[in-house]
Amino acid sequence: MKITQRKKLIIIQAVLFVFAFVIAFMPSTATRNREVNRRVIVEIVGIDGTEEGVELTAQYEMPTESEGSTSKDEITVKAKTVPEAAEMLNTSLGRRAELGHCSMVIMGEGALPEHISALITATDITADVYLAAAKEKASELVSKLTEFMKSTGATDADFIAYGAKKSHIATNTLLGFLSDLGSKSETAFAPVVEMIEADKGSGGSGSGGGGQSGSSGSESGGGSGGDSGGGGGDTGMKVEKLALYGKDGRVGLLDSTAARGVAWASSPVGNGVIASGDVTGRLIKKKSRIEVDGKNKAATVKIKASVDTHSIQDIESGETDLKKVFADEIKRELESGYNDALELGKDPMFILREMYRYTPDAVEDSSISDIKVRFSVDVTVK
Amino acid sequence: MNNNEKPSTVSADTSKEVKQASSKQLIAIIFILALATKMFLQPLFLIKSAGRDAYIALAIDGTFDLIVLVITLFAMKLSPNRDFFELTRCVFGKVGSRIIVGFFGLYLFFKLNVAVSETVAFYSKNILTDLDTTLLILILLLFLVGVALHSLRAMTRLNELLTPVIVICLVLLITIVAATGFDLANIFPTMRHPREFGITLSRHMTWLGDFSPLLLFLGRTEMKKSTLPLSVTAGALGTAVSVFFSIVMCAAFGNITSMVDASTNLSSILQYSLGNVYGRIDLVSEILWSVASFIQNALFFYCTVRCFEYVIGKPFHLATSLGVSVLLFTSLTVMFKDPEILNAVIVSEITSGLVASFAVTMSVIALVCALIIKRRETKGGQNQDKSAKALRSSE
Amino acid sequence: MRQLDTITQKFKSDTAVTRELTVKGKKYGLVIFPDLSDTATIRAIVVALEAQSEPAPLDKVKTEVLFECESEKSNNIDDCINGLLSGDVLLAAEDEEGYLIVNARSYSTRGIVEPPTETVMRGPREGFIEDLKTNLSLLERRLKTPDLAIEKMQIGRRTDTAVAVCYLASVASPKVVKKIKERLKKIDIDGIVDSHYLVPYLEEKPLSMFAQVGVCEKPDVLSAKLLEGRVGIFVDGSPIALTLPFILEEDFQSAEDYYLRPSCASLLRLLRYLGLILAVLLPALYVALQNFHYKLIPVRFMITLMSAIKGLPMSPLSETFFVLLLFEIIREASVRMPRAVGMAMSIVGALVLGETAVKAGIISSPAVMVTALSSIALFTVPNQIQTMSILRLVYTVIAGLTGLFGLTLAVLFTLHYICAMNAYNAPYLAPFSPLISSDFKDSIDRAPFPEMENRPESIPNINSRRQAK
Repeated sequence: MKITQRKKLIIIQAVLFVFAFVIAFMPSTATRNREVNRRVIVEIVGIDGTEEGVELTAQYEMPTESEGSTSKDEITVKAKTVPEAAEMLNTSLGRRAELGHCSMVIMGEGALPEHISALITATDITADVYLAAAKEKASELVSKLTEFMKSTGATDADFIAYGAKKSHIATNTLLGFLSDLGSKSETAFAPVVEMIEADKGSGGSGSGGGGQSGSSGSESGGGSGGDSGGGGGDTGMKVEKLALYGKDGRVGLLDSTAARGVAWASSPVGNGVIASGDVTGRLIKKKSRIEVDGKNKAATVKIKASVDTHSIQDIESGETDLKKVFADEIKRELESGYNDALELGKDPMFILREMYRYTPDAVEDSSISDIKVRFSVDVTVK
Repeated sequence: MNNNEKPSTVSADTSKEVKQASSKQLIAIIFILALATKMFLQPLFLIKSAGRDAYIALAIDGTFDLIVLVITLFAMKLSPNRDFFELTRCVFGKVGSRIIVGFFGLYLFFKLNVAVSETVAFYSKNILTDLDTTLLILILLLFLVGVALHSLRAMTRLNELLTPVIVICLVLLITIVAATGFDLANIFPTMRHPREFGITLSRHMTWLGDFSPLLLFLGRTEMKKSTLPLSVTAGALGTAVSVFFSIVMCAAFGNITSMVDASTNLSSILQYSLGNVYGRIDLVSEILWSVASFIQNALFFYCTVRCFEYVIGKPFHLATSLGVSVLLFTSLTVMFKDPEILNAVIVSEITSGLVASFAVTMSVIALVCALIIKRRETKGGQNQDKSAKALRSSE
Repeated sequence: MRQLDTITQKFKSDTAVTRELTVKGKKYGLVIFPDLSDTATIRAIVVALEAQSEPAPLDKVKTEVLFECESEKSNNIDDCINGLLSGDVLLAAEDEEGYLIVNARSYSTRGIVEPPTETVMRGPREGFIEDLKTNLSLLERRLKTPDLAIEKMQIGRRTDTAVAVCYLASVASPKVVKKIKERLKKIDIDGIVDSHYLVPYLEEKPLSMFAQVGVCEKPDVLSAKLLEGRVGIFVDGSPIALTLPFILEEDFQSAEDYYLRPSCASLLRLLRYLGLILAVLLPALYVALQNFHYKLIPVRFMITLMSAIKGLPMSPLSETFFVLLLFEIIREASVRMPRAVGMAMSIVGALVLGETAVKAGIISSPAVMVTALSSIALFTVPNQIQTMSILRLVYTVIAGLTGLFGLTLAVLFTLHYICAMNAYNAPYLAPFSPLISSDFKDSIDRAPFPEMENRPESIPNINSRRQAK
């Protein structure tokens, strides 16, 4: 029988129809479990290391009965491993936890780098997620953040926008964290998120995110908590400190001055406020470079910064003076960052990594304490 | 003006033989072939073994492939009207030609296995984690069969249509990577372990031969003066782009090669540099850009089908493409069901050696055949001239 | 009279009327088809015959008595009957063989109005009508050149419909003209009622869902197309002229584009391209994103979406498919309905059905919105509505089952399929594929006329220059 074009087309159509029919009723396509309305969106994940294994806290959002509104809540699960804990999240929430939209991972004091690695490999969490550290337990911070967000309407996006602004705090992503840790410096950091507790009875006058804390008024408040109402709750977030990590976990915290020192050496950071005594300036542009001399095991951290002064008073005090004042302040912070980290045996400015990149043989078996480090700061005032 | 594609003006009506691909289309397809597989998963395998030196391995691979490309292009230039099948038939006879084309088909079939499994793996790992891999393979095969039913001209036209889209996506990705100040210095120090690097390189030759399907363009492509240099430039540019992205990947994963498997390769690089600023623009761009690998898969499938058809001796497009797709489906779902087995086969030294030698040999065969035929024709021409002269003098 | 009987015997009913008259002793006979003939012409014939000073034979009648009438002498009965059926009058004379076929054709036609499918804000409002002669005169008035070739033929064993192939002899590719004429000549069908009957005979892939023959209803559009080297085909009784070769891009061009400022026209064209892409892909993308790729949905929008679709009984695919199908039904019903009822239909369809279904929680408002947006976008390219509606449904199903993977492959396959279309040596996707840079002057962009020096290369022609340098 001769197969005409028309018959061929009918055969192809029939085959396609059967194919579509089969596909439509295949278990993997017919299932409705993966549909978006069978999920809860996890926005923040907190990891705590415990003796039994790991504790995962998830802040999630799901639509409520009334149209357009959502409820935010958190849940904590304990398991031996991260993949197990991630699976438990699904069962405890009664719906599949959608981790692909997670925007922040918070490491508690006992959390280990391998937890981060497991989190990326076992779940949908993407490697670009911002990493933060809690001073103590991540679960506590997550629940405080949830409360804070509920009362103020602040979202995780506020924190992320702040991180993306490249302001004067060194932020990190999950992949960046693991990559830093895997480098010759074997050091990684994560900014520490803390809540600002309002004075009891002071009502809704928050401190505006801790903008003026410390001698160097850092611009570190993620969300401002001006309208938190009465009571002694948290009025805002502050990000001032850095948590330092080695391969075995957290080794210590750097205070705000030292953290700013690390941020100076970290190339993505390009904004911020510098303050020393009466003068303040706003950083407009910054270039940081580490020059290494493998032979002599010496390194120079070079910072070039353009600063805009804030007030007429500052300008009147003379440009040369201002340059020196700002340069000294930056240098002080750099040294503080370097020395504090050195005491912990860590290298958050990645000097060793830089040296290994260009003179690998010279530093193959060295540690950061073997390197002589100098700081050179050049400030231009505008 | 392009006489072959643009059917216009007087020349169209007194038209010569219509070619399947124009010079422009050949250049576009070379660009796509140069970067499609190399940008997808090869860096992942390479990074796993060569660490932050993977981009050097890729650059060496790319250069090797470019040499193969140049040989193929010379063959094309020498044989503007005879296709690969005809060339081999003229030189090796009917049986010899069928044996060569049969081997070429088998080689392409193996490459097709690798290409399809890589594409499906990319989607099943990163984009459609919920769906069954078998289903993805089936859908891709359906597309491949559909494509193989039409002519090479349709394929080259499709590629020409989509090349701008792919280029835009690439430019977008490159701009994002460049603008966000990625720490490229992470690729240093280089070549810390040259011996291991050498071994890795020798085990990753399976990805060579991306330009092999171009042999089917022999005699069917319009060759202008500028075609050869422009084609080589396009190939070099494509290779450079893929090397650039592999540099970025090496910088991202050089310190944590263990993460390579779990991560979303290219997507992760961008995530690393982007943060959440742009949302998942990378994924959108990636999906659009993955079109390049679909085209490459289609081209390999098309060439495999045509080779087998030549061996069979009958142009049964539907039957042959269905046959090849059944074979492919079986090999991917039965033989290579476990990706580890496929990986083991791919990175074995024997496979690497075989693929590399096939990639070069086939192009060299084409070039030699083209040379022989050209010589025969020149001689034939001279003899004719001589006899004509002799005739005239006798008169 | 013997001749008159020969003719009337051929007819099964008494539709043909015969009259005899004697002029100065010579008998003349007339066969008339009153339904199709003009009474004034018949009267004029009779008056002219009676006014003869001496009765003349038919040959002399043709040249001297009825010199102002179009007439022809024939001995062939079939020709005579065909003429009679077209409204001609047959004149026979005593003791003479054969008939004089005098043109007295007249049947009522509608006036020349603006066609509803190609309305313009600015520009000519003339449209073709069902009368071939009128249509040809409309064309001839615009193309006043001896170069305009009009070749007539009859198609249809029973309808014997007049078909006219028009082209500019020094522009259109002779190969294309020859091919078209060959294809038309090969048609052996009992009847052609409309020009669309010819379409499948002229297409290379008649089973394809993509149109391969252009249609137009306006003389200005047809003239412009002929000037670009295309061939037009008129069918008597149809107001729609066919044009060949056809490329997809033509559907994105509107007559008005050429009467507007180039920048405005270019923007409109861009909108049409975007509109069509949006129309075809939006429902599919919506379903794919909901089913598989929620990572691509921004988190705030995802929350809105989740609260909108909460508690729906249907899956995203079936919901969207249902809404799309509903829309197709409403559209079909409102096209077929009388206009007065159509309005009520739209209200019932859009407001009552849509609104209540959303409120009842059967479908969600995002799905309705997506379908509405897609459908509005679809109307930016009216000629593609049918094809793209089917594609939209197919894509939606594919995307719902296999996500962006399947959708990308389906779109690629469609593109590949149309890339393979090359009827009459005109690449269907030109000037995009193959890339013909010079033709971009009249594709997404509409360049000013002085810049369009050449005819489009995508349409085969033998005279590429359109204007002097």
